[in-house]
Amino acid sequence: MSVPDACLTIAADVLGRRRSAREVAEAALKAAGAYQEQFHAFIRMTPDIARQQADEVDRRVKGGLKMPLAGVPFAVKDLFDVQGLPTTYGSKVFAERIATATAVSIQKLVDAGAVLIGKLNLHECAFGFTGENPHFGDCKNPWDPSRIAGGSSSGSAVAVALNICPFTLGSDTGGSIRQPAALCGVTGLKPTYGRVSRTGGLPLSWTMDHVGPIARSAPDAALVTRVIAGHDPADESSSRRPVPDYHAERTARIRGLRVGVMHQWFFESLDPEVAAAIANALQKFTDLGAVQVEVALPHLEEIVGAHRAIIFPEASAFHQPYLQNQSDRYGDDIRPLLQAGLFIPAVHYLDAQRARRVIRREWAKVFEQIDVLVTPTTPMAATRFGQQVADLPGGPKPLVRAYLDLTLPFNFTGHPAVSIPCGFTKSNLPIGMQLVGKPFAESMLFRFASQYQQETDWHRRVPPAANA
Amino acid sequence: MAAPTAITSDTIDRLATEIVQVPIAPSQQPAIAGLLNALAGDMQAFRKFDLRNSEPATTYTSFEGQP
Repeated sequence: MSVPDACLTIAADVLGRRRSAREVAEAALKAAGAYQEQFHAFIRMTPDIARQQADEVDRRVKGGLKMPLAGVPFAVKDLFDVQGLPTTYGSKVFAERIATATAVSIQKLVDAGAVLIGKLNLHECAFGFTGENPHFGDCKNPWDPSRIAGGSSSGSAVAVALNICPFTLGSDTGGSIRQPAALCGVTGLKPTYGRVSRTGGLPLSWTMDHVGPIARSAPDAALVTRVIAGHDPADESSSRRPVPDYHAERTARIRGLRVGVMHQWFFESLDPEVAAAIANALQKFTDLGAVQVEVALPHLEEIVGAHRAIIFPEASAFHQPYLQNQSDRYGDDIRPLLQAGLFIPAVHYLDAQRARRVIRREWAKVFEQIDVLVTPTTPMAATRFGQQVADLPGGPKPLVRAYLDLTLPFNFTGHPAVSIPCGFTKSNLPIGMQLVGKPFAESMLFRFASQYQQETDWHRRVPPAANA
Repeated sequence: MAAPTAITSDTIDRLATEIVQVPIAPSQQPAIAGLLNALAGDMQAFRKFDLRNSEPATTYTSFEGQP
């Protein structure tokens, strides 16, 4: 029922004509259907598109064409456009919006031989971190369906965790790729701002939205990132820097490289099981020859406020026309968020964008001392649906602060960050570790993540439901 | 900076009508007021931040940068 193969394996099989792309796609579609009622990972499956694309891949393979993702099934968060299909944004407000063009990242993946099997569930309008959705069903954690999958790219993580497809596409404005990746036990990359085109994705916050992959392993994420990265003239934030071969560069050793750790803020209030897992991971890096360096990134509390002063007005600016006459169609949890942004003064917004420049300059000096920064992705594993407060050793904390304080700083600054599995709680819930790099140093992240995954098997574990 | 006064539904009602010009149902106003008070708390440190003479990170793209 499941598709456990990594991207490379599937592509090699399809290119070697040991399996057809059509066979792989049918298996993925079957798995997607089998899990849908329980986990609500998908908003829409796209069997007709999948079969047409798979048949085209098989034709191209017969013609001798080599494609890096030949026949690899994938699915996308339903805020990315696919021509002719609705892009619901996980909301009733957008349910009838039919896309007139396909998102740049999706087109690149299809051109590389990947096969689209569906569009994935998300926290409504990407404005939330739990994956609860009043319109399309709550996306449930594959390791314990009474718990959240994380969000907002909830279905993107769940589909990979359940081995429905080896990679998916998500977006991340405060942690929306890394959070669900951590809570569902998979690998998720938020690239550097400007590395991957945003064209064809509905925005939450133009200056902090990032597009990236969720995959089972770092090598798979590297392969996909290589395909989707690169300049897009239609996206003014898009970088013209050349795209490295992330997949090839991942194997370089990490001996002698510097691992930054900041105990203040990132380690202050952790569930003891998370703290132990991160400590073990840091020891693993030391065993591999890396050197640990204590660092101090300044202004983290200021960043939390500045992130709020940007995300709320930018989201409200986009949604303002819909708030005028159909605010009742938004879910009760996100409507006040979108309305509240209308009342943030423009001066706060501009000051936050000014703070961004100052803080980026100061952080550049800190990142000169290290090759990667290691933090927990979340201070605790997945919480139960309805839970509002995290009970952490430092005292109770609103969930929004507990979950997002460790990930949103890197949306504010634009640094690349990847979350990889680094352990499990006694209740068999995944724990995520976040690796943060210098701007455009995704290769370094994949290097650390891949070598960690060579030494551990956390990323190979699958939820009980996927074994059924 | 003066200590902030708590935002109420009345604040939202007046601002929505007089400045923002987006209709907001009375039943929706308390949630917005509560959220804005929470946001004000989260923004306290940021509002005291020394911005020196920096310009916003996002500025209008020059003609040279446009197609």
